[in-house]
Amino acid sequence: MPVLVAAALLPSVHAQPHKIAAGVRPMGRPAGPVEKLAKLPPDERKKKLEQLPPERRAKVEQQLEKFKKLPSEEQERLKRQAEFFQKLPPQQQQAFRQGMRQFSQLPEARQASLRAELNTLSHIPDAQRRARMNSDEFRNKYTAAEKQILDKLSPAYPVD
Amino acid sequence: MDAKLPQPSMEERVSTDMTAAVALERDAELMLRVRAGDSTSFTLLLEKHRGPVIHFIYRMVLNQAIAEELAQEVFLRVYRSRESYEPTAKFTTWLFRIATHLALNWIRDGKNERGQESLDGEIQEGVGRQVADRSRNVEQVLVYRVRLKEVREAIDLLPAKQRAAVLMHKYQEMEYSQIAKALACSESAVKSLLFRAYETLRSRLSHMA
Amino acid sequence: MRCPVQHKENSEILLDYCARTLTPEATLEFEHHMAACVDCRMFAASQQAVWSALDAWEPAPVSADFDRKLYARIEEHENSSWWKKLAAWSFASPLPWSSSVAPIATACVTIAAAVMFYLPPERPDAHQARQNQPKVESTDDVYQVERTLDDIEMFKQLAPPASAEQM
Repeated sequence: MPVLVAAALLPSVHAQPHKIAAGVRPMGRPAGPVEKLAKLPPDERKKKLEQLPPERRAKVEQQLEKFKKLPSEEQERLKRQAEFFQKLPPQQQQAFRQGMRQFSQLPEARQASLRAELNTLSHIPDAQRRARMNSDEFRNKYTAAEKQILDKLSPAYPVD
Repeated sequence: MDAKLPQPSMEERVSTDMTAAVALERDAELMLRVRAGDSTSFTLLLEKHRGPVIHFIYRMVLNQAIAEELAQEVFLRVYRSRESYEPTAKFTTWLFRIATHLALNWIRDGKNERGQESLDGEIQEGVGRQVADRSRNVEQVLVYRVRLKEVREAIDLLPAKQRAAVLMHKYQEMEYSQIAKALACSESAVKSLLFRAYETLRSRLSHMA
Repeated sequence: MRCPVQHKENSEILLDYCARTLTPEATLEFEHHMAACVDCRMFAASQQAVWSALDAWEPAPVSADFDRKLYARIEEHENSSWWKKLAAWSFASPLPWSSSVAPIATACVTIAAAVMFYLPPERPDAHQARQNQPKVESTDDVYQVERTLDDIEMFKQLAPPASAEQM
């Protein structure tokens, strides 16, 4: 029941999944702040990051280094997802982040299962998604808590 | 008559001031992040200031439902103004300026006559919370009921601006300069408001010592 | 010390003492004065009674659905059309506006929008010149980077297994 209430409270802003522009960046679109920072020479980047406290600075540098090692296609996809996500209403973002905190506490095996399910749910329209999540097969596969996590993640998860 | 009050030590005062300064800077930093599009920072600001804003407005308008509605309007305006936010004043000063403006408008528009909760209703609720606390006996609950009625009536007597000044001074522990900005008046005007307000309150409540 | 009760220019000392916001030196000075001044002792005692009485006014708990209602209003505002937002902003600015300023401001913006629509487009060289000017980086960019990288980490956790392993 609480899951149903939670599902009812989450606004379904889009009937269709959140499709974001795939492929080549449209002409004239300016580089995002991550790109700008990544392209700076190391000493200029260091100077820029001095605005942050030491721990946060170290975290950003580490994240940036890992990010730069990804294939460019992967980089583009993740940036598009983040950019799209940041434009969603605060309530949806908040619910999503809450769902992610709960997700990261699950055992690895369950995360893998939910990850696959989320990718499926994110590619189908809202009505179909709700029907799938209310099915007996779904209820047998996932606990109520896991369903709640998927409920929070699937409406706002941006897909290509 | 010994009226000496225990005063905080210099170390406590410095520590409190530094903590307060850091906390205030943190609020402005969070609001700048909201300006940059970070909704999590807005949530953090809401969690921190939700209670104080609602309680302040409640003590102004004396109706819990109206107070929550007006408080929502405060945070909605904070969110709507995010793109033009500049940390020229302390965040709480700006926040309570909006809250004061909305509460004063509501009082001025005369809605308080229609919307004000009955005194008995509010006291019953307060007494209910007291009864739920099993550590208090019946006599203590009755004393609480009487005191609450007197405090509320005394606050109700104050003109709206005096009321706002007292509530910000007493419950939010805001400085005279902050209260002045919130009320859009001078510091000397704030001191005058406070002095008159406390004079009224002393005449009504000092017997409760 | 001139008695704060007798001399109005010192009266805020009384409030500051009761609010415990005086400096230690000023506190000592005032307490020394109070030892010999009945008026100030009585004032401090009665003001302390007021503070204690106000402390007794315990607030009611906030409704459980306060945040939900607030976010619903925010979303409604975000989804409303631009002209409704302008009207709402004009008539409900955080700062007090006189009743005549808001409609005038709305009219001015509407006229400005119409004029801009009918003005000839800017010459390409002027536009290019502006584009070439160096942009001043602000602190916001760093926060934006931080937030975006955190969000990227989040989406990495949800990506199909081949991508997740690379981060």
